[in-house]
Amino acid sequence: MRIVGQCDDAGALAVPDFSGKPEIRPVKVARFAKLAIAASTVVMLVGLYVGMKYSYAIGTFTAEQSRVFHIDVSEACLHGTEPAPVFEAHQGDHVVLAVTSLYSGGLYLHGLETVVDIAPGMETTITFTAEHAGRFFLHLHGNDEDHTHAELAVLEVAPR
Amino acid sequence: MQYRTVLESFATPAMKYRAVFFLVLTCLLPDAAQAHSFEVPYILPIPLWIYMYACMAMLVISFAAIGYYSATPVTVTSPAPSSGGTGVQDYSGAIGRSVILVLRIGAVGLLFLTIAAGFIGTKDPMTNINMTLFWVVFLLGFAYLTAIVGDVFAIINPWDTMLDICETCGLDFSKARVIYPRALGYLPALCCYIALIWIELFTEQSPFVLSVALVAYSVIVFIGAWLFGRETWLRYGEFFGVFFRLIGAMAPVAYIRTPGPGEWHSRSRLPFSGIVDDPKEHLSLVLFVLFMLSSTIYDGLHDTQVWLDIYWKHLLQLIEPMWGSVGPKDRSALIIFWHTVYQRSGLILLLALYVGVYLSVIAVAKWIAKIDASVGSLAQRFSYSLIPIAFVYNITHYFTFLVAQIRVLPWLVSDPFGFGWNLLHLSRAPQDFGLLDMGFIWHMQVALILIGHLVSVCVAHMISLRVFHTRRQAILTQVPMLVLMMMYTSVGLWILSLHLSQRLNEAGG
Repeated sequence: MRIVGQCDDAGALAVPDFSGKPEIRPVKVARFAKLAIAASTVVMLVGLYVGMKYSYAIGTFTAEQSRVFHIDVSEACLHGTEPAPVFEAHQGDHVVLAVTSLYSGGLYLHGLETVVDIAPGMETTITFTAEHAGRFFLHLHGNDEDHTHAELAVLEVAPR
Repeated sequence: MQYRTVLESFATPAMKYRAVFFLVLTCLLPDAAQAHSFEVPYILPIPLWIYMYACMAMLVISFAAIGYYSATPVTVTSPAPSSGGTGVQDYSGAIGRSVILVLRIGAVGLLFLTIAAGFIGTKDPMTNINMTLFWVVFLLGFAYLTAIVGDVFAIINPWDTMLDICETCGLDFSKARVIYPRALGYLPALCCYIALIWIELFTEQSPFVLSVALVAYSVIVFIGAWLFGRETWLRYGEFFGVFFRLIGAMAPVAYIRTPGPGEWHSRSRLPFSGIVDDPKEHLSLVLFVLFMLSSTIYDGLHDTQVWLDIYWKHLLQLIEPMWGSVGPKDRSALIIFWHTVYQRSGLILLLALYVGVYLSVIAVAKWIAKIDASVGSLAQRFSYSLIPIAFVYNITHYFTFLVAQIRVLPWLVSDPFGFGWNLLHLSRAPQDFGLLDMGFIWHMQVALILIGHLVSVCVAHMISLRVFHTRRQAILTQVPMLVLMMMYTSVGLWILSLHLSQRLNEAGG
């Protein structure tokens, strides 16, 4: 028999012959097959997700702790001849950024929108609890004539 | 950067000529500054388990799509007769002239506000409204809205409105003074697109630079419309029109211009039917679609550790011996110079790579299904199937930026030029709006990419059923197309999993 809409070219896929079994229609078979494919896809996606999550994510957490990071703002920092360091923490950690600088200006922790003034030769600290996960850039916005702008460090806070 | 120092450091005249060539290449626009403009991304790369899950889910979805379509007795249909009119479910009627008038005036007003704010407002991109209006509200928010409500931009295009006004004043843009070369196709729009991404990635974005760019673009539109005729230029050369038309093709609404002046009708249609039905137009539109994909990919890639390590750990070792003996200062200048060349050429090379891969896959599809049509013709017909992948990757890449910036919009509206006004009498803007949960961001990124992949696979299949004479050809062509979709989706997922580099200072963006 011919399915409605099935092209009659030589290359068409073979269609089962249901002529002797009028109670089973190819449209119904196709509908059942599509439903089965959709359902099994959803089951596989959910199963994969649960399996992957609990296989890989569990056991990576650490207890909340205090982390102190020291940054010395030198000429090398301003001219970018060395990559800015990456400080790693976890959500909930107590973070202290201790900055000593040759320059004056503002310390900006972008993303967390924390701003602290800094003076030459003085150690300035930024203290906070890492409530948000993410990647946050610590920049020096100089108040000199050149409006010095330098990346001092990157703080990566991993979620728990 | 001290280009003079760089030039002087080249030992021979030949080297200097080469250097001049690259200077022309790289100095067209100013070097990126160390300072950020107003976007500071805070997204962490997706963790390994989500990345692995996403890859496996992509395979499952791909094979499920094949199985689903194999189980569906479908018709091999004729190509669609026209754009926007097929797949139509319902005729929704005319759009009121007053509504159109208000929208068009509003669009022109916003364009003027954007330009004016850059010239007279504060230089601070955070407190000048023009950066947020253009980069966030228009290029991101309006683009995402277009995928839902259709190509509204075709109705409210401010450059179209300004041409209208000029024609009312006696200037004639309706006739072509020079015949538009057919071979050009959408290349002018593509060039403007590349220029826009170039500005986004490689220049120090500021309100002033943006306003200058918008004025320059407006001049280009007027010159193009004057030379080639308004209709021609708005169709082929006006970048924003082409960009929003492609995105709007996914929407469940189409807008049809009727012969009367300023009359538009809206028609509802099946979602994504626009990208299935739109007939092939020009090979340059394939480049445009592929650049939609590759430019967003490159935006994600160009400051990752992997990409920068290629230069710092490998290429630099190859090119450094060619410099001879240079002082530390010159060496530093050369390193940065060649890094700039590396970064900027990467944008074009990635487009070339994407085009090469796409055409190769189309050629394979043509070969295994024994199709008579040319590779170029098939490439044009299937290029729209990549739009969903490009679109969702754009969302995954920028939506946190959109969310972050859109929240400060009321305060920017209240003080558009950064003069300290408070026109809306708002309370002081909060310093901390809160950040989106990283887990939510990761899951949303992966879910969107998988949805985009599924839609693209389905669209490619539906296009093949319209294009080919036999179902066998339609099925066979889908095997290489599916591999192509999986490759593009995998690259998108991979880039989401990459760590950003700490060499941003050296990289210059």
